[in-house]
Parts: sequence; structure tokens; C-alpha cells
Amino acid sequence: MAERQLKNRLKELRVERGLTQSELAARVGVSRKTINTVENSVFVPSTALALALAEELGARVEDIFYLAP
Amino acid sequence: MTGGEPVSDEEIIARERRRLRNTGRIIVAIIALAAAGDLLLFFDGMSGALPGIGISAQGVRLFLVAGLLAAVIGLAWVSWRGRQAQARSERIVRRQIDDHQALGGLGLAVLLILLLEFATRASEGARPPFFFIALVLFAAFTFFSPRARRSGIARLLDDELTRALRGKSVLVGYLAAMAMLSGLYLTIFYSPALAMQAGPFLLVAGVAVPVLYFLFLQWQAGRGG
Repeated sequence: MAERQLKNRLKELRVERGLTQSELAARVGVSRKTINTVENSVFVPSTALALALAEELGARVEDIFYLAP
Repeated sequence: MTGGEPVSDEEIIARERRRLRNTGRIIVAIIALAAAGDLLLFFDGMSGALPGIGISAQGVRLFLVAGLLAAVIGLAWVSWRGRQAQARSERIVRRQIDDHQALGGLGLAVLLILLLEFATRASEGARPPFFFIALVLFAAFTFFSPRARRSGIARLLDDELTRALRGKSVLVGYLAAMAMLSGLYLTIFYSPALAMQAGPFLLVAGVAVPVLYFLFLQWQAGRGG
């Protein structure tokens, strides 16, 4: 099976809630760079961070992350 | 309220930012110190002027090593004082992760500059300071990383991206050191004297390459957004 790429809607959801990268980073306890690299699909976050992001944005993990076809 | 203690988060963050800025100034001063020592040695090499102004090249080297030691002790003190202040609240540190990481990167860059500087002089009797700096840099990058301090604040500063980047960098350093070691092993057969000269560069490959790559990855991670 070909490896499918993990994409996300983190930036979209963050902007919808009026948060900057730094604000979201401070809320989940990571650096702004971490949020930046996740948004750009450069870095795949751990399950714990994905859950923390979902909780902070009031969304489900699968609303934020999805596998590109 | 006594002693002008800050009361709000904003005031505490502003004060911490000033402290970090001052630490940054100390680091820049170390670079200036190293550059001044370099210039003195350079002009001495060009004209032999140092004895004329009453300073020997050996004296300048001692001055550089003493300056480095003073800088390490000073930075350790600033870092200890900072941790005392930070310990009051994880909430504050959460908003300053980027500032702390930038300062850590600057500190690593200074050690790297000093290491490379001494590596180029390793055949001129500068081996002891070279190996000292190499050890400090290695320790700073691995054992004295925030993760190794095991406090809640340290955990915050060493987030999962930082750990991932460090892992990537260490792998690159390992590959670079192995490549250099292979070259050194071959060189021993043909020119043992040259192999002896190449020793410091093997250390540079193992220590400086991962640090340099780590700083590059951190810079790259911060771009955009």
C-alpha cells in the first residue's frame, strides 16, 4: 500500500478562532515553531499533542488531521 | 507591595524579556572578546608587534581561556538566577518558549564559533582549550539540554519538535564523524603525521556538524507563519 500523506486544517481552525501561532503554542505548551511546522505539514505531532490541539480548538482530532487520498 | 515586585503576567514577562536581552548582550560580548583576541594574534603573526606592546601571544591565549571560563561561569549564574525567577509559574514560561530557545541557540552558536576558531589553531599549541570547548559544546548540546534537567519548566522548553530536531542532528553528526573516521583510518596508512593533524577535525565533525545542523533546522522551523 502506498504511504498516504498526513494533512491538516490546523491553520484554518486556528484563524477561525482568532488565535495567533504564539497564542495557540502557549496554550498547549509548545513553541511557535512547533505549531508552524505542524501547519506546514513539515512535522507530524505526537498523539498527545494532536489531542491537546483538538481540545484547545474545540474540535475532534479527525477534524484537524486527515490522510490525503 | 514591596521592592517593586511585578504583579501582572505582562510585567513579569517584560522583566524576564529584559533579563534575556541582557544575557544576549553577554553572549555578544563573548563573541567580541574572541574577535579582539583573534585580531591581536593575527597582527602578532603579521608583524610580531605583541612583544612590543608588552603582551605575549601566550598571554593573549591565557586571556582568551580566562575570558571563556568567566563567560561560562557568568552564563551559568544568569541561567540559575533565571530558573529561580521562572520557577514561580509555568504559565509565564509558556509565553516565552521562543525567547528561551533563541537564547539557547545563540549560546550554542558562540561555543561553535569558539570551537571552530580553536580547531584551526589546534596544531599551534591550542589543543587544551580546543578540547575543553569541544567537551563543553558536546555537553551543552546533549547532557545539559533542558530535557536532562527534568523539571516542568525544562519540559516546556524542550518541546517535541526540539527533541525531533536534536535527534535528526545527532544522526547527521554520527554519519559525518563516521565518514571522517573512515578517511582518518585510511590516512594513517599513508601519512601518520597528517592523520595526527586531522584529529581535531574529527571532533569538529562529531560535535560541530550536529550543532550547526540543529541551528539550521531550528531557523528553518521558524520561517513563515
